[in-house]
Amino acid sequence: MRLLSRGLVLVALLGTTLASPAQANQSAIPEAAGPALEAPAAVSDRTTCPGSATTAITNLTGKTSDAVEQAQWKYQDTAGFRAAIYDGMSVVIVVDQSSASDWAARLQGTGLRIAASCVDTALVAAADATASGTKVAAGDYIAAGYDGLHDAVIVNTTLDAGDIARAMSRELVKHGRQDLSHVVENTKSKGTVRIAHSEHAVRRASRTTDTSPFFGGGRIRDTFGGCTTGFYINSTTNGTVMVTAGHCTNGQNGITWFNGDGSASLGASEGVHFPDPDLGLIDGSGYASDTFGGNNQTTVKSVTASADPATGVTYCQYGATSLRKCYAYTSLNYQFCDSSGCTNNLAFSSGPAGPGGSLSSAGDSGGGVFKELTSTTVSARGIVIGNGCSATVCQTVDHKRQTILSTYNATVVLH
Amino acid sequence: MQAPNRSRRGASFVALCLLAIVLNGCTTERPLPAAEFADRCRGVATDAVLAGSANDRRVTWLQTPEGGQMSLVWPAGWTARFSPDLQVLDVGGVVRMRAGDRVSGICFKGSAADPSQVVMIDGLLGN
Repeated sequence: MRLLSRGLVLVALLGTTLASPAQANQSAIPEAAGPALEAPAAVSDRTTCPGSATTAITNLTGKTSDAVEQAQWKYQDTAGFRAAIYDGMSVVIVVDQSSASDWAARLQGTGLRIAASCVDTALVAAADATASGTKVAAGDYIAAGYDGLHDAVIVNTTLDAGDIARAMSRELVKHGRQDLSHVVENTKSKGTVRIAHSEHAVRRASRTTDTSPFFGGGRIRDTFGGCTTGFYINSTTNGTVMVTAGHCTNGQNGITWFNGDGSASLGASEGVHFPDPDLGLIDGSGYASDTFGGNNQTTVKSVTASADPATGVTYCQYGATSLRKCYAYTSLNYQFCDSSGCTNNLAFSSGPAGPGGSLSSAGDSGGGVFKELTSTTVSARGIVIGNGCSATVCQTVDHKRQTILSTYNATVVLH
Repeated sequence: MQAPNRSRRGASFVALCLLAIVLNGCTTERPLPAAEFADRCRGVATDAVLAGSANDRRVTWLQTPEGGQMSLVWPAGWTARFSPDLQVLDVGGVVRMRAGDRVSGICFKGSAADPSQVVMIDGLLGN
């Protein structure tokens, strides 16, 4: 829905707009068409998503590939054009909603249709991802297809397929399609990228070795030590960024954050407030509406909602040190002071010390606090700021969701 | 024959006493910089080790793998013993940490201008 609200409409051009309708139908059929493509289907009769076209698109060569490329080159400078993409049955032209009427007139009589709604959102994401990949390709050949049955984007490129995959992954995340994981089938000078929805895709190894698009709950390190990523927000002042605690960068902007093993940069700190509020942002890479959320290094949960916290309700923090720790707030207007100053309007929780230790620990700062909705989905409530134990009592202080959103005029980006 | 033996035993005793005095002289105790040890802290993870010197005004500090140093503050009444290696003792005289001990969490205790300048080891008063 978010994609549709961005004002996009999909129109499909049977075959190609560069040829007659008869020629177009021929051009749309790939040379290595799979079963679903053995006969040119009348798109107007199609009421379900395309059948298996993975093989056909993977072998996106010859006439179909030419048709995509020709459409891409013909319309790339026309107002409102987003991308040309092959959906397994035809070449689809994706245009801006604002120019839809112009496009309808432009393509009148060429067999245009509105694409099947069941594939619209994925097609938009795929088309924009393809466009992003095209930019990376910098003029070199790239053609893409969308396999509706397997919810997969498949790209053929003459450039490094790994580069294309990374560029497209970033674009897919912007469309909330971070569930699509890429598989680079050939990283030589010419390759195929398959970006497919897969529950089993190994997108990252653990909290400490996360890669873009980065999740919440991951270990992050800078020159001052280690903290945890919170959750993904969209700020009117800072764009799409990851939130964490301000003290983690000593209150400084421009500090580069790395993942736990230092193998990847998450971006630089910006919008840092400290000590009140104690908040910071990370900007410069791709982020996702997911969080590491188990009592281990690998379990991932999707952030599907957000709300302000309340007292007496059990929430769980997913810090990279303590992993999953659950507790209920007893105050939502707590003041925490130290030699750095005071931070106000915090959520506070305390509990007995003992086996299991502190509610949270050093290095959990910045980690998200969530209401667990299901075993795989969570609702954002805030982030961890401070923690500690005396001999008998452990305490945690967290920034509330509303403080984060009001500070950055932001919304939580949901899965 | 007995007198020389007694004399040698006496000399040995004196030597041992002198050695003990010398060794005891190598043991130095210093008070540690203290700060109010709140139950909570703004914690960050680290991968540092404890270091110290009786001749350094900081007494103790954390050495990071990157070569950085962070000054430390401790709960009131804790002391450092150098005999000659660093030991940190709590108010009850119990050795709580030693030079080279690995530290995984710290709490910023520095000023607002540079909170990370002075830190406290996380979890010292906890379980």
